[in-house]
Amino acid sequence: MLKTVNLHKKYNEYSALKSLNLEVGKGEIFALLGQNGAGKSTTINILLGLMKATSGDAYINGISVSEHPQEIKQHLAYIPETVLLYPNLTGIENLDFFSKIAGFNYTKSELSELLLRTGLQELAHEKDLGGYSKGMRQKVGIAIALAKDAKVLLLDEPTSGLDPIATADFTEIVRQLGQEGRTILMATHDIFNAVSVATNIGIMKQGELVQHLPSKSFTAEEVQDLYLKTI
Amino acid sequence: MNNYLYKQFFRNRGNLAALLLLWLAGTVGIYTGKRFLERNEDIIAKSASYQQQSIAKNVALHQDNMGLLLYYLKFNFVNETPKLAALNIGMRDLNPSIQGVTIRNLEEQKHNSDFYNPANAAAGNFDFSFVLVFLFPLVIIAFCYNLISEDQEKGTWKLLSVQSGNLRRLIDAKILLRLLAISVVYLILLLTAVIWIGIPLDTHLLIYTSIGWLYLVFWFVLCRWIISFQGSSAQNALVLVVCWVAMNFIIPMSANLIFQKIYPVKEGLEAQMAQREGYHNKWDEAKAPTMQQFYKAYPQFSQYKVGENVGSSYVWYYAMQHAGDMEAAGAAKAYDQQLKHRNDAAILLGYILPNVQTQLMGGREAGTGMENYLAYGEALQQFHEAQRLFFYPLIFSEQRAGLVDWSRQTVKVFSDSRKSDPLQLFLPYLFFITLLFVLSNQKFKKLC
Repeated sequence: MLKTVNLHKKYNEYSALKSLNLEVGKGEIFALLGQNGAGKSTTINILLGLMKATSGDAYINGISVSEHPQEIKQHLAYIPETVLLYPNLTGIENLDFFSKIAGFNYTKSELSELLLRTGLQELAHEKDLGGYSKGMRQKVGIAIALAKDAKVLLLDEPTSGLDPIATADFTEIVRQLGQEGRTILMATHDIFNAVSVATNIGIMKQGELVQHLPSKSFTAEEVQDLYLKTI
Repeated sequence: MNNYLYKQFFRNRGNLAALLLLWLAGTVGIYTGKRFLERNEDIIAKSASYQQQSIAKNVALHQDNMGLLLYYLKFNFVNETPKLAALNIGMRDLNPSIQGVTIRNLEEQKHNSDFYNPANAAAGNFDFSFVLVFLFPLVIIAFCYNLISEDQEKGTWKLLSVQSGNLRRLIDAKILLRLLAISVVYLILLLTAVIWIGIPLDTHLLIYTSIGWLYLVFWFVLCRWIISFQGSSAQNALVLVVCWVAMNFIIPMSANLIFQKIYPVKEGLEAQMAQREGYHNKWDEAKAPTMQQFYKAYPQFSQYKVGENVGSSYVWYYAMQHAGDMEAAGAAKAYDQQLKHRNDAAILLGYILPNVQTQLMGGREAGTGMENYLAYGEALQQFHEAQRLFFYPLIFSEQRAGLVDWSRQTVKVFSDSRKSDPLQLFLPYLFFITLLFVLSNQKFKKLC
């Protein structure tokens, strides 16, 4: 599970996060909505241990991010807006490489299965990543996250720029991961996607979580109205 | 994991091209050294027969005049050129590896050598040491300057950072792979040199190889430290190239100017002048003071008296020649001292600049440095003196040339048998490698 307690981040005089309190339980998918600069990516970067909070702390499975920035990485997987990998390695090689640096050794058939699970066709596995579309790269990114077998997943606008079919495929995988009991925090601009997959939705504005909604109780249109009114 | 780092490295054609270029440059450097060595060996080999021919011809001409015969006869003294000199020509292209001297005054002959084009001296030799000191670091910089920044700039860093619990190990694996690639090229080149030139597998080669490799490791560790600041690729490249320029040109050149100022070597000309005047003026002076000086130096020849009214005498003639050396002795000693001081200062500089250390210690092991030049100069003086002491009694007692066993007057060889202090050789490298490693580790602690 994932938790932030009075998380605060300041850049000089500008507060990117203001006392953010957030809790995402096991099997929950929490979608963070908000304009650019609302603090979504800052939250994710702090949770990843890539950025230090000015005050407050975040916890992954009860482990303090500020105190154990290396240890929490074992519990986390991350899928960025654009999964950037090594173009001179094939898809399966990239997956193997990133799995190995996380300490996992898979057989070729296991790696292939992971890629197939994300919907990446077998024909593409052995192709250099240089020839992959964004959607295909995102799928390799998901496979990397799956291979790590992390209990907490942080997704930073993962469907941005994907075509509708790729978005639907991606959403389905995220839903499955939630059903498997993983904790997922997803920053996104895609309200409809958020409503369709998330168990909870939060709207951020100027570094604050101004709305916290159980997504099942709202339609996408209602969330959109609320979002527009809030920001 | 290393398998993929290996694939990434070798699938980059630029990396392969750089390694190939390095191998090519190294091979050209070895070829340059081989040509130098062959020319040197050829001259030395011919000198033996030339000396015998010259002795035979002059003995036939001056059978009854030993004094005149020894005026002409030159005896060659070789500064042994180790095969390793092919890899580090050093000062051997400027200073002759063989010198022919008569038993007349030494100081005039000492600095007589082949005319050498100073333009070539300015450019230096494109030998293996040049490739090692100047080109290898450039390729190392090209391999390492963006080891972190490339991932940061291409966007893979964040994912790497999340996936890996130990990014330092990942960076070190990348550096190690590059060190391995460079070391393989380095060792292939040395192996080529060993086989092609026939360099013996001895301690000198082992030391030369070790200091060269430590120099390469130093550059890798320097790169590790610079990239640990996590600057952009452009910043890292700029800083490393500035280091390269400063270490190879700005600091050594500035230091050289300072050394020249502190230790001016004006005594070279002074010695020549003192010797010339010391000898030539004696023709116009009374013989007694010249002879007294000579008898004082060589009491064993005091029975060969020279009267003031004697028109010509080889005892007096060679005493005058000797006087030239005696009067130039102070300046000659000071000249050698100043050169030694300069070299000592350069050695001190080598303690803080691994490139200078590599050049100096490489030269020391190959017998091509200033220390060898000075040691050879000293040995030449001893050889000259030995020849004088052998021939003086024969000349002064007006022996016939036929009495001498000329076949024993072969070319003599000076072997530089000085041993290097391992502490002095390796400590500067080990100190800087350790220091930079520790400093970069401190910076790497902040890596996410």
